[in-house]
Formats: sequence, structure tokens, C-alpha cells
Amino acid sequence: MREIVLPGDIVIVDEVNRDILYKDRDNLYATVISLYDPATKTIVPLEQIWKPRVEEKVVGIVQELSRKGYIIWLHPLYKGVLRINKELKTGDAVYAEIKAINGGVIDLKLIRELSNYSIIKIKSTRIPRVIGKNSSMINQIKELSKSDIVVGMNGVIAVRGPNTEKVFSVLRLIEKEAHKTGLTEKVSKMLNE
Amino acid sequence: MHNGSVELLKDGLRLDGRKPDELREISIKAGVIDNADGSAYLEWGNNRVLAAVYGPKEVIPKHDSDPNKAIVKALYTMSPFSSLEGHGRTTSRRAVEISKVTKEVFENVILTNKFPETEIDIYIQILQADGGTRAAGITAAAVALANAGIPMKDLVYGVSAGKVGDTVIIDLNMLEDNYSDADMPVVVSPRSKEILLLQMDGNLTKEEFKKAIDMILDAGKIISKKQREALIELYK
Repeated sequence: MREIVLPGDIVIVDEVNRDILYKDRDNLYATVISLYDPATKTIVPLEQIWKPRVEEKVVGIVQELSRKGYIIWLHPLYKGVLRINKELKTGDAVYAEIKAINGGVIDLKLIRELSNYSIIKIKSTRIPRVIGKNSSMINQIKELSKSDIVVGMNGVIAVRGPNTEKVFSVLRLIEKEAHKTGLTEKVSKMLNE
Repeated sequence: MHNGSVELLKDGLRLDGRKPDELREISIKAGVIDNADGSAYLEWGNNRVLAAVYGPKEVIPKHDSDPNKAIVKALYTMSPFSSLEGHGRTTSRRAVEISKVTKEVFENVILTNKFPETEIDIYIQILQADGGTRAAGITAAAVALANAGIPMKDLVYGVSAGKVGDTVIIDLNMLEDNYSDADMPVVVSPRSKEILLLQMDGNLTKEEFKKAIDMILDAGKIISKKQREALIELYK
């Protein structure tokens, strides 16, 4: 039986994830709200601050051109650097892959530019739910809303199409109710209205 | 028992009908502000408190940043309409002090070393005040921080204890706060029973102090339960 644990709750796990656990004497404690399964000794965070990882695909916003390259906003904590010989407009969104993280510098590789996209930011822990199993959820949203949607693991999502507002409310619903069952039906009902 | 001009204890009951060791009604709702990373709304007797958390984010101004850990900023504000007295109508020494002690409480529980060169902002807004607002504010802020996903060693709570005559009482309301013989707000980390904040007006004997701490730890079980329920409710 999986249960919700809160900061300060004792847990016993096989794999110690230092990002979400805290060791005091011989015991381990959760530090963020998580789902804990005592039978399998696993813990999955429900709320967590996003941390960039190499090979992750992100959506960012062009902030400025510096000597290092284009500075791309990814998260209130993180900015990436994009070195390309192409002109980008500030304020435009880009879809990029994290190539390397050296110290505080996140090197990005451009996948494609996203001009004229509307941007929404949701909690990065909800992104797996937005994508769904084998991309089922995101494909359903794309199909029903006739929109192009680009999802970044940093929690930034770019949307272009005729029903942007509707897509935004669907994404906000997923952010709020990611843990609930029957979300797929709710989403399709919302988009079919 | 007469104290000044207000009779605070009559036949073993307090002005609002509570027993000496009885808390006021508490209800907490987490995740109430869409634009905050984490938030909570708390009603504690007649107190109404909003807490919002932002971050970790870039430090402004940059020279304040610490290469080893996140800095915590706290701002406690009373709304101009929150109380009968002048609290909140101007920036006060009191608000600056409470902001400072709140910051120090949370520096001890947030795992600040995980986010070097960043800042975490905690805003506590008192909408209606009826005694014990610093404890209420910290209790709400703890829920808001957990809601924001900021790693913490524990979910802390605050409550005050005090004394009327020889009777130790808990969770003082505004009148008791103003006319009692002692008022002692305390913030506790329930897991380790560490005391993170202890301030006192008036005085208590050693025995009374011990009794007050015992009452606070007992009451903490109820407060912690309310905090937990508020957070778990979000995932039901």
C-alpha cells in the first residue's frame, strides 16, 4: 500500500536519493511530500524543485545575446547557453536538449525554434503526467485541440493552435489533479466541449 | 482571577469557555494561491493568516547570495484592517522582529545547502489578528513550504503558552495575551522535539515553564495533525 509521507517522516528505502531524503543519526527522513511504498522500499517525490539533467529536453525563452551565446531562461534558478550562428529573437521560445552541465553553465543544443508559441509554466513534477504512458495523454490533447504542443522537462510548455486557452486550462487541471485517476476522460471531455 | 480590569479565568474556564489546556479551533488549507510556488491559508480561532512561498530563485541583490547555501527571507505583515490596535497600519518594530525570528526558524529546518546561491522567500500576511499570530504564521508557512516542494527536515509548528495567576494556559487569545501574567510563543520541530523559537513576556517559575512546555508538546500533536491533513488533502 503506497502512502503519502511528509517532511520529517521516517522512511526505509533501498536506494538513497539525497535530493529528497535526510539522514539523522541512523534514520532516513523524507524532506518533501512523497509517495512511499514500504513493501518495495521505494519513494517518489510529489513536489520537488527541478534540477537540470544532461540529455533532458527543455523549453526555454531567449533572454539576451551575450559573448558566450544566447542566454536562455529555463527556470527561476537556471539559465542555459545556446551557441549558434543563427539569429534568434529575444522573447521567442526554443526547444533544446541539455548537452552538458559545467559548474553553473548549462550548455544547450537547439532542437528547433518555437516562434509564435504561447508559453505556460507548470510544476515540473507533473510533466510525466502531461506526457502520459507512451505519450498517450499529450497525443490526446494534441489531437483534440488541433494544437502543436512542445513539452519541456523543466515544466515549460509551448502551445500553438486555435484553442490555446483551452489547452492551458487542461494543463492547469493536470497540474492540480495529476495524482487522480480518470484524468484522461476529464481531459477529453474538456476538449470536446 | 482578576488581572488588571479583565477577569481571565472563572470557575476554571477561560473567557471564551476553553479549559486551560484547550486549543482554539484550527483549520488549514494548502495550495490556495496559484501564483505562489507554495501557499497555505490558516484559521486559528479568530486569527486569519495567509502564507506564500517563492523559490528557490535568483538572489536579488546578487551580493547577498551565499555560495554554500540558499538564503531565507521572511516577511511578516499585518494587514491594516487586521486588528483593533494600530498594528499593521505602519511598518513596526514588532513586524521587523517577527520577520527576523521567522527567518531564523526556517533557516534551521530548510535544507538550504541543496540550493547554493539562491533565495527562498516566505511571506506571512495576517488578515485578522486575535493573539498568537507569530505562531499561527509560522505554522502556516511550514505548510506553504512543504507545498512548494522545498526540502525540510521537519514540518514545524508554533503555539504559545502563558499564565493567569497560578494557572498555566495554552494558545492565548488577544485579551489573554494583553492581560495575562506571562506569554511565551514557542516553535517546535515535532520529530526531534527541538525548540526553534522561544520568546517570553512576563515570567514563569521552573515548574510552570516545564508544565507549559509539556502542554505545548501535547497541543503540537493536534496542530501537526491539522498541517498533515491540509497537505494530504491536496492528493486525495
